[in-house]
Amino acid sequence: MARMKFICDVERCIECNACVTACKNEHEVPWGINRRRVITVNDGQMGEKSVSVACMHCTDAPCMAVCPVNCFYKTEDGVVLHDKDICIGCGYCSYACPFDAPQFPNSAGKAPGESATDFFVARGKMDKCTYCAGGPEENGSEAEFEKYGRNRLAEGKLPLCAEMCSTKALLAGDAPVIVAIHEHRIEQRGYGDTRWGWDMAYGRAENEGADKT
Amino acid sequence: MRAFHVTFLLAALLAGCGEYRQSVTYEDGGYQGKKDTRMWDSERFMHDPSVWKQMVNERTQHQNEYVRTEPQE
Amino acid sequence: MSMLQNFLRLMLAVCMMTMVTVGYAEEAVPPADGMSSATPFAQEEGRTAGVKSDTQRQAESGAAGVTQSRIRDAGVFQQTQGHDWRVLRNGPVTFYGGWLLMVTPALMLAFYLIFGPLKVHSAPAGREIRRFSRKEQVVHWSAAGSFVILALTGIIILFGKHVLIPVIGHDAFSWVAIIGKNIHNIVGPFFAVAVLAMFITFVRDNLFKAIDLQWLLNVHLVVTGKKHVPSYKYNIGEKAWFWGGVSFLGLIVSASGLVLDFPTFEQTRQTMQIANTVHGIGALLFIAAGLGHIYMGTLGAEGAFKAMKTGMVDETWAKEHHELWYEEMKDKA
Repeated sequence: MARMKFICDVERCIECNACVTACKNEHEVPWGINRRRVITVNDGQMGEKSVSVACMHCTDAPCMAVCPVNCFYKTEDGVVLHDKDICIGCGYCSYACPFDAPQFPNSAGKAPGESATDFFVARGKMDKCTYCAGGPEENGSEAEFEKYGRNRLAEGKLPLCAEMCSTKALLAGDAPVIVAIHEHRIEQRGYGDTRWGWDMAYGRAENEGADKT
Repeated sequence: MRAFHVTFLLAALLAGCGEYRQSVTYEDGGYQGKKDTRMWDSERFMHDPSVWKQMVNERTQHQNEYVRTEPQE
Repeated sequence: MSMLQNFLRLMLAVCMMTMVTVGYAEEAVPPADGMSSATPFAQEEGRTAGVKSDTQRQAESGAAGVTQSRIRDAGVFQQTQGHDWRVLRNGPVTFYGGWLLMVTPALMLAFYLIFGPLKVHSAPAGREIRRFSRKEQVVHWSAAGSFVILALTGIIILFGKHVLIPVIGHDAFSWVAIIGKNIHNIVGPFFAVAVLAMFITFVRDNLFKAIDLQWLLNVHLVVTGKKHVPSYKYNIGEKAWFWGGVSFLGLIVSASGLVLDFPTFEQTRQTMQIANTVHGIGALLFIAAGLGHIYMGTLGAEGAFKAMKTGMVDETWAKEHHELWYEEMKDKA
């Protein structure tokens, strides 16, 4: 089966934030939640690099491991999804995630000027990048769209952030295919970085990292 | 009867102490966890994973601009 | 606010360092050593694998960059502490904590079967004296009630998925956990107040006295009922529970719990990880010690439960358990 991953080519990312906007628009993500964000390091200095970060759909996903109700699951394609009907809003996945992907509607982020409303922490249901693959509801249904956003994978499409990336910095798809594209690119231009975050996301085998005493 | 209940309770509690994986086990290519319709489970892909995969992989190549500058064959 | 936050953080760090050292010492999980050839996706890595620029190293070690996202910590590309927390929580805390909660009741059961409860030897005098005032009773039962609720709901959050999910399934357990979590979050601050009231109410009688040392030196004889050492209102066993349990663990669990309960002060993920670890370890020790206290208050010592329930004890009981206190009371009357 396919193994879906993201590559962000930092040599190409121009910090246009179009992936962020596209994601928000496609899935009608609630206020205060960024399923994807662009980070610029060394801004305005030598060696400035921008990288677009979202859920990397880790091999040994920490969110899955710490969830007290096991609301996470993984598809054949390695996409980490979650079930909002089961999520209790404890926030543990957000503490464990390296990439700050799982976020909560009230406490994780507030709309500018909006005051916090979550004393006693009714954090609501966690929201995260779904690799445009929806959730447990029927593919393409209204319920699925409301909870998780559009299911593009079921339409034979790829995540919108990558598909509409203007410089094609962000690549999405089956790992061997996108790695081949990326490698070819590095060969052509003669320089380039490795794939950011891959050690963290895919460096550990299934369940390798934890659950031992 | 009471002894049975106590034994049962202790056994049930003891079961929680076993050393086993705490995350849902996922094997490459396998599926576990929640019930969900597969991506290819629709008329569009004739319920065939290989059709779906081929279409997605074709689409992945749209992200590769070298296919335009270096046409294959 | 920032001073309070810094103080809380410092306190949590100190608690963590002292309490978690043992847990970390047990840690045997090797760190991820980059992309070794043994990793399952090595063949997908291609030719540039393992080459890293300084910028990438910087970002991957947790340095923050600039971003448009307004979430706290959004500039951090990748945090590594989450994995440490996960290993600690899912590993030693769950494992040893689970055993602690199993072994403690088993030990008490064995103790009960071998030595039996502490009995009052002489015949009851029939006259009763007041041991706990109405106020002391209210404070005690508020703390006790919320303690039991918090312990049960907390255990569900940590151990529920291992014990309950296989039995009742994901959907039913989700409801148990949602209700449990909300009860835990609402009762928590109430418990913190109750612990504070407990400390203020009971601290005067729990100050150490010279006689306590004698009790401590003969502890093996005293708890098995073979020797009698006179004591004031509380003996050293009760004082140990007051200082070590209610005061120390109560403070740790309440402070870390409040940090977790009100994540509205821009706490970072690292703060939450530390708070969660401290809260878990503290609470498990607290529950184990609390089980000991509950045992002594119900099955372990005759007349102890009635004392806290009604506030009154028989004169003979007072004389046999707390002789010096009994004499004090007699002098007053």
